[in-house]
Amino acid sequence: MTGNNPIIRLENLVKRFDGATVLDGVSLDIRDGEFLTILGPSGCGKTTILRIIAGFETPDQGRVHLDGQPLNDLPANQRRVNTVFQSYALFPHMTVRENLAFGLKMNKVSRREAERRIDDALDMVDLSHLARRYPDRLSGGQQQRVAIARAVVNNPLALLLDEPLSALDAKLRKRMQVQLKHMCRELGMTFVFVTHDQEEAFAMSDRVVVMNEGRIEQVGTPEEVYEEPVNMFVARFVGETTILDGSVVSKERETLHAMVEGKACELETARDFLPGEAIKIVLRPEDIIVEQETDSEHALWLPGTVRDTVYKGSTWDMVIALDSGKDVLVTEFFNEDDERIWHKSGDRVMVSWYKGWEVVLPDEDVTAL
Amino acid sequence: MRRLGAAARLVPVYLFLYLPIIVLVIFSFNSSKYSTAWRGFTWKWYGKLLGNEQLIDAALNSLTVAVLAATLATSLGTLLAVALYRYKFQGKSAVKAGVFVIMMSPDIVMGVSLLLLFMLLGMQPGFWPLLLAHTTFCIPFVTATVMSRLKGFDPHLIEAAEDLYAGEYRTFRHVILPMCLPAVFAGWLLSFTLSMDDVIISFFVTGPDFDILPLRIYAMVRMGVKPDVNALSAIMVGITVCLVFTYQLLMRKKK
Repeated sequence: MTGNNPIIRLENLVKRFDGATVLDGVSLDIRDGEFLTILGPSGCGKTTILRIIAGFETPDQGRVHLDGQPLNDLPANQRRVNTVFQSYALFPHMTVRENLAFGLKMNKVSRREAERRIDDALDMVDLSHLARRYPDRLSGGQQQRVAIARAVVNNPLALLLDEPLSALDAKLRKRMQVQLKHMCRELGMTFVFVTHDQEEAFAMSDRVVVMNEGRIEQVGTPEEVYEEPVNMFVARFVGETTILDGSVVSKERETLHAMVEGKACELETARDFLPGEAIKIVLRPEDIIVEQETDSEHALWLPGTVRDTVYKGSTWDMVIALDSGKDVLVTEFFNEDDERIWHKSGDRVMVSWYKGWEVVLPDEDVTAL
Repeated sequence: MRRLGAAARLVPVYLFLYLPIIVLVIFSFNSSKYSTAWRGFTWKWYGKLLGNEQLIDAALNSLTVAVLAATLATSLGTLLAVALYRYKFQGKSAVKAGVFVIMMSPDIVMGVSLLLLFMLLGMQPGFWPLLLAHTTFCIPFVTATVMSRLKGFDPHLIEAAEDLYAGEYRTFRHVILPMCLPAVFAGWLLSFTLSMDDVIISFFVTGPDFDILPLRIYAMVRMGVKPDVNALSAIMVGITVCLVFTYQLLMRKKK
């Protein structure tokens, strides 16, 4: 299972393209055997990290270590990592089998050993019956599996995957996510996966690295990143959020007395805040409670009107317009035994959240000024 | 019906393109020696060609030069195309522009300048200057053909090869070359054709002891078009058709 010694260590990587800084001091330890996802919007530098590890780009500053060895001066063809490209990049003039054999041949693996490994890899991705086909006679999903097999067959120290699922349809994508995660466990191989899709990242990863504008914003398990975002960027980028404005009145230990949307309430946070500081309260759709009457259990009740309701099968989503002008996203899970009334569009409701589930962050827009 | 209409529209275009060649082929079988009037079918001009040693010699010379020049130009032009596609280097855009300047520059200028160069180098007009000249003007065409093919590739293919432990040479040998092979063949055939029918540049650089077909024909025509020239031209058309056909077959197999 997941070990603790880093198989890949990135030290303070800086990369500029034509004066634009793409990576701005990225340091990261990737553990042996883990499924790590680098998540971020397009242009945040996530693909560049992968390309630096693979050896297609040279960092302007900083160092890369693979299995304790410095990698900087090693050309791409001598690094024991393999890449699954977004476009798959299968060799069109070779059959599936020849594609898989390429790396082994270049690496001078003995013929018998190569044959055995190719058979295993084809078996793993369930493509043995298509081994003699050329890539242009395969479906997108099949090509994708060939690309994965072609990389895995070399038994690399780490597998680098650059948004490999983005060209697949939603259903196939879900299936591949499960399969990839399974493969990572089965092979005990380190997977470094790059995506802009947060759901995809959460579905597969042991740890998620959230990136923005060439910097790492947060590293953590999917739960940590989702439930304890360290700043507004992560909060907004990962999952649906409702963000309320507030300001600090006073703080005693973990309890923060604050004004939120114009009302006094108590919040829980481990962070330090100064009285008067502007804050944001981040709430997830499932943190929120909607009632028609208030009770005293929850500190703050905000009045609003239900604007939209969306039936999603397992959940019931709502958008509630607060009287203070904010929109709140709510997800309620169906419960057969629940006698709760399902609200309709136009209903007047009171909104609160489960105490302690909120995340309190400094208002960066204000502090930046 | 619609298909028929499309075909009907193509007929005039193809007639326009091929009428001269059809006329030429027909007249190569005309038994009349001087006039353009039809005097009955004959093979005799073809027979006469075979007896014309001077002409056969010129044809063999032309073939030799065309094959060698096309092969040289294809090797160099392909390497140039790959270099321009793969690497970043100082003055790359100048090199790229230079390729097209050679392609577009008038033959007469090329001819004169090559003659001047060979004179300065002290080379006697003949086989070697001719081969060098033909190689020179064929290279850009090969480069352009191969480059257009390379540009159609997924650039990640080369990275994939490197990622799978192939070095520079093996990436070229096992990935780049096989993938642009059809374009390399096309470049070779193009060079062969260009070399076979070049008159102007050859005129400047070859000497009296190395006669080539286009110049031979040119000399023959100066005294009026003779039916044996028609026959010779018909043979050349035939060869061209075969080459095009071969090329098409090769391309289909590659797909």
